[in-house]
Amino acid sequence: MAYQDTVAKLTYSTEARTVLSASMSNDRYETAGFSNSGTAGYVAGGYGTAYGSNQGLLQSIDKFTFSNDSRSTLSGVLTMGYSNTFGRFGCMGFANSGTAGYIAGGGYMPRTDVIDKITFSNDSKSTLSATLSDSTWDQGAGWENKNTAGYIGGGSSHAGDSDVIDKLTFSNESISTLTATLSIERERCAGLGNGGTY
Amino acid sequence: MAEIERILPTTKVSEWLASTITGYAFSPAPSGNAGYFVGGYHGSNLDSIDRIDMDDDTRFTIAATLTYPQSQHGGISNSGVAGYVAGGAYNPGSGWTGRLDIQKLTYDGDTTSVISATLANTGRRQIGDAGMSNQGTAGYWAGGYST
Repeated sequence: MAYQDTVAKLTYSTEARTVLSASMSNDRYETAGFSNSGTAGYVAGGYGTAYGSNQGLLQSIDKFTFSNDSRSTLSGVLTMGYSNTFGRFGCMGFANSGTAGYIAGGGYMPRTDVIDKITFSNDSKSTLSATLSDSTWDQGAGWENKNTAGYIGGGSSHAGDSDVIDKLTFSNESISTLTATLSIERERCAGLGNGGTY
Repeated sequence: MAEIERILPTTKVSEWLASTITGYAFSPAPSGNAGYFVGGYHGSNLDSIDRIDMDDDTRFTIAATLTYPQSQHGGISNSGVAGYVAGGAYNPGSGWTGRLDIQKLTYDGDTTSVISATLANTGRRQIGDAGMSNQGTAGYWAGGYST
């Protein structure tokens, strides 16, 4: 078993896969990814072998610039998780492309309900006053309806695996919970958004 | 639905089909934008796919499934065309084995397939929600760990 710091790229027109020469700043798994389409993608948090004060749980946020597939690391970091000591893994990422990206939940024993925001214009980090309806980790999934709302569903809450779907309305950054639920509780699922024209 | 009803001009073709095909052999198209929750784990790995129709925030489980029940995979989406999930784990109980393959969900018709490209030279799991997408151009999966 080996933690990975590499990034695989799938070119949509050919469905060919390559691996970037640039790697992440740390090896890590269960990171949260989100994108400012046409400009850059971001990965935040995760768990890796950087066993320091954060016990392997990372706060850092890497940025991959799409034009040249290069990597930089933001100065802003994720809000701490447990006891203000650890970073966060198993978070869920989504974005309002062109405006901001969001990293929700994750953590480590206990989970968190925090939603961090990266404003794309200056890559600054802030934390929303709104929170998830329950503290959640274990990789639920997030995706977005461009310019309208982001959706976060599944994962694992204190009560166990979750079938709950939360919705973050971008205009006022408020959280609501859908009446609809997943057909079954899903932790460690994947999210795909077919949500608008880019 | 009786045949005589089918000829009534007010009867929608979709309603007639739904009443004659048991259990939906097809997936009704969303009325607008949609998002998907794919696979995952709940006691065992899952192969089902839930679709959220974002016009009315309703959930529908599509007819297509993943090739294998799996969890810990990551998704990228080329909005308007297709989404892809890669990596992940299967066969819990006899070891969590990382997957190599990349599965594709074509949004027009909600069909699934496996593309010829693979994620990397070794299987990876626990990729997490780590997908990034440059719409119309390329998608990216970061990290995970190999097995």
